[in-house]
Amino acid sequence: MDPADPAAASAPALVRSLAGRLRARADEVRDEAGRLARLADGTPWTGLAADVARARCHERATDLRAHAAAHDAAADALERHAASVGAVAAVARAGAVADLPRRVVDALRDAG
Amino acid sequence: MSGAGPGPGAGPGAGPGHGPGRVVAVTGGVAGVTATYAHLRVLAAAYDDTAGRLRGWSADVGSALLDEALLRSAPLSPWTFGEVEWRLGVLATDVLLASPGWELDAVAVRGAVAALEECDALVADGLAGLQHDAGVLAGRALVVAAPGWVPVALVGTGVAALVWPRLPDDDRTRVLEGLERGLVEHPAVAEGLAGAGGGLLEGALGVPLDGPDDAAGLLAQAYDDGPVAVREVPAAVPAGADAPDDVGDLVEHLRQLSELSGPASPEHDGTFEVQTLAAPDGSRRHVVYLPGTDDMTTLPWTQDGKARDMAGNLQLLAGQDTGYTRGVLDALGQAGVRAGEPVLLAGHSQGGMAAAHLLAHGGDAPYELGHAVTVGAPTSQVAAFPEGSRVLSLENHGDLVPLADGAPGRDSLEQVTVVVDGGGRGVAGHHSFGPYAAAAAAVDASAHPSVVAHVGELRAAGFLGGTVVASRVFQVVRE
Repeated sequence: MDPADPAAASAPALVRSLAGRLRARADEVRDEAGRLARLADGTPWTGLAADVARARCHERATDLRAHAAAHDAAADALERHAASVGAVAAVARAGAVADLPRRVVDALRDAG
Repeated sequence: MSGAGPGPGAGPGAGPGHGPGRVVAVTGGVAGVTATYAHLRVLAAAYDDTAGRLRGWSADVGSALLDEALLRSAPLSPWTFGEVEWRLGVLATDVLLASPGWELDAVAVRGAVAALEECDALVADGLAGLQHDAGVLAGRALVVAAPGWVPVALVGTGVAALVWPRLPDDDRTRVLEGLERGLVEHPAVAEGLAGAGGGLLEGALGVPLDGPDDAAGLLAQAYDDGPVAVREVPAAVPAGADAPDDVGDLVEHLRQLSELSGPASPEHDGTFEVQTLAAPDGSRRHVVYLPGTDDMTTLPWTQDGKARDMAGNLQLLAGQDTGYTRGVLDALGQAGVRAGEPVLLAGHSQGGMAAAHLLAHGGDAPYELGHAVTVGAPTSQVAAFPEGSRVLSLENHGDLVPLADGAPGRDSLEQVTVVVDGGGRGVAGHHSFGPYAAAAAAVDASAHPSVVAHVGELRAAGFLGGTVVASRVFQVVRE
């Protein structure tokens, strides 16, 4: 993609929308972890097997929360990428405007 | 069964107005073992759902990884793009790999439930088998040893017949009370004897009999089960004018109705009541009150017009229709009960057995038979109650009648069995209405989740509270 390409200007917004979707998914994963832990705790089951199953569920819920955090981290990375792409595109656009008089002169000279 | 009469012999704590009895045990309902297994299956299903969601989430991250706008932006900032791709790639893989773990846990939970149920069934079958085998052995031994014990028994009976009338009254009373006390204080023994009854007959007669229901079925064949007639009769009890407010009111209503057909008024044998209630929104529901046995001494050759006789007990224990149950269905039609209007069947003793039988087998009838309250009645002869139905069973500790099925109360979502120490004197006293009034008070005061839920469902269905629209007493007699 050419930094001066008009599509480059819209790229940061598109990348940020991806980041937004990942953040929403992170919240969903955290809710799922909490819901499963509550369900396991609220199941009226006692005994050794019950204790093991409940502990296993809490471990897996902890893993889910880690996945949620990883979604957030990926969203952060996307935000950084969007910011970087936006900055590069802006610099490219600014360079093109500054170069406009020289291009006009070159074009007139070529036209003779 | 019944024959205990409604009031007398209730003993300490008997009679209306006394305090609640002590709850000894609660089986089934929302806090029962079956409910726990159902909860575990829900948990396993939730684990499976999560596994499916994780796969979907992983696919979504994979889509983000290959997003066209993201890929096209790569040349503008290769370093940050590289970080994004790395994070998304790791995330998609991690989330996907987490999925089978949840599925494995779902399998483990389902396996635990299956193992627990299998173990329960094995132990229950083993105990029932032991009882049955002990009965078979005893029956065979009785037959094989008959040449030895029959003469001894004849002589012993003769001696007893001679000595018994000469015993002082106090001694005779003491012997009888001792026997009675032994049974009511150790109800598990009586239940075991009932459970072994089928085996005893099998051993003695050489006919394969699985349990008390088979044995009862064999005995019931000796009786005639002909047609019955049902008609409305001009009788009433005071409770008929009032809608029940709690379980205590249901039991008190049953007591009054049982008194109507008590030993002093045999002309009312076979009477039962259909009470129609209206909710504030005008919808109707019906409570059918079913008293117990009118004649406990019926022999095949003494059978008469009484539909609630010993034959009915045997037939119901064997899981068969009786003139009483057919009569109740007939009366519902005569009372104008319409399809879809909820019906509660409340019965004492044989009435409770009839209620349980109708709930389990009344599916073909055009009535909404969804609730039952059984009082002092065996119910294990019913293999299973329909899903979604509700049965509340009251048993007085020491009452031998509910033990006639030879099995403890079954744990199911549909049925809650509450065993209460309601007191009483002797076999008849423990089965009478005094202790059951105490049992009902204990149920109404109970905070046990299963009991609270079942009573709450009776209330929610409109059987407790409301306004009495009509109260009709019917009588069923053998033709």
